[in-house]
Amino acid sequence: MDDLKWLIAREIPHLRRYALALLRDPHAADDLVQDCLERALRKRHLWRQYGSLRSWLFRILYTVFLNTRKTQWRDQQTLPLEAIEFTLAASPNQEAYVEYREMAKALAQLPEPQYAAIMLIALEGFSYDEAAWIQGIPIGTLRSRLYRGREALRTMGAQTWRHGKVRRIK
Amino acid sequence: MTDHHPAVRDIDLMAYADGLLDADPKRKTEVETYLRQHPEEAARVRDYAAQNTAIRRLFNPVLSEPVPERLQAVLDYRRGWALGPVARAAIALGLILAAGFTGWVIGQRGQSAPWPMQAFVDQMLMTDERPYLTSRSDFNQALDQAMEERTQPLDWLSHQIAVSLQPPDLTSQGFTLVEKRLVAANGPQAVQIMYATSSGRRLSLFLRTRWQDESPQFRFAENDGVTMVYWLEGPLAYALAGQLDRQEMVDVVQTLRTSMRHQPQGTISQIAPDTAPPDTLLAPPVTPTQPVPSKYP
Repeated sequence: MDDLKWLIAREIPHLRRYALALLRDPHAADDLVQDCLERALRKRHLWRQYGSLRSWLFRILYTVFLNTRKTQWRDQQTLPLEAIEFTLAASPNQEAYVEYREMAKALAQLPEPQYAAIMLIALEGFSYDEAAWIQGIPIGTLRSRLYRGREALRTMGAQTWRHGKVRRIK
Repeated sequence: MTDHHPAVRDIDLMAYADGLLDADPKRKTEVETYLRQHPEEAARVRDYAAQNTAIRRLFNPVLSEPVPERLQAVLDYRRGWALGPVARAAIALGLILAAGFTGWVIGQRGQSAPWPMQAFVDQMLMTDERPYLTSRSDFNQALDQAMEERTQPLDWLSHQIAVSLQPPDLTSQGFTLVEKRLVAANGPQAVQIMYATSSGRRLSLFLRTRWQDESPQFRFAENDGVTMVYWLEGPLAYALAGQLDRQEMVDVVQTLRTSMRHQPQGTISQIAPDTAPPDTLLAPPVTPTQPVPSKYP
């Protein structure tokens, strides 16, 4: 395996996590990641133009997601919670489970563009420049999506994960 | 969107909550000053950070899941991308075999090695002073390690052959697992599993993927008090070396083969069926160091 493939392989868990966040269906998420990896290898000669391999991979993933979602996967903006609850099976205690379930419900209420932007930032820690490039939008649009999405979550989540009930790990 | 302060905007607050200002201490200080003066904004920032934490907790379990084989396979064998899973597996196997064979040809150029695994083990003997008998670490320490990292190198091999492997259990013969490691000599990589009895006798098992035109002959060799056995079964080539007499070796091999055969088998058996029925493998012992002419040239 050459160096590029090694670098790409290191990102697979992160690509899977974001794909699961986008699709909330583990099988469909891995299909998406697989498609992303195949495209990345076919276009491997291009990535250096964009500076960061990591953001390049996420841009491919997100583009594939947008392109195939309507035809192949699903059309609706809010998706069932089962997939997310599936990932919660490992949660250590009931209180945490309830909190994250509430969070999952609130997230499911968000319009998809806001949801996708928040997930990209919250999960992967991209800078706003990178996130805007990954999603193919101006940085002002990204900022607006983040702001509206987060305020909506605040409103919905006022009784659950606010005020430090969710332990901070940062 | 906010008019509280001309210098600090929503994007600054979000960036602060997202940890993106850590690289900009001056701006960070300005935002912190602003937050001390505006408690309601500070609460907002805390909420944003708590959202991030909750979201990460929600999806982080994915990070520790093993990467599905089909995703890893995309990177390993990109030519398989347009094909179905069975075709991909077949191509993957073909590439493994081709790579192994090439490595062998390169490694053996100019020599007249009759049989790849034997050549491999011979190489091991030349390059590493009796690796089949010596363990690199203290025995007890190695034993602890073996318990902890019970399947690590085998996972590598399992991945190579798409079949799940466990170290064979030889306790019925008095041999306990001591150490497992990846070894390589001029190309082909193999897993070496070392066993020892309580009295300190050592036994080494080498496992690697086989290639198709290898003959499935079962062979003995004896050299300097060390007995070696080579054979092929399913997707793997085996070599066993130890200071045992031939009858003991045959017993160990029987146990080992029974143990390996009861492990779960994947798709490989459909792609590369055994070229010899298992029961013919333990044919009558052949003369030491004199390989029997192959029925499968």
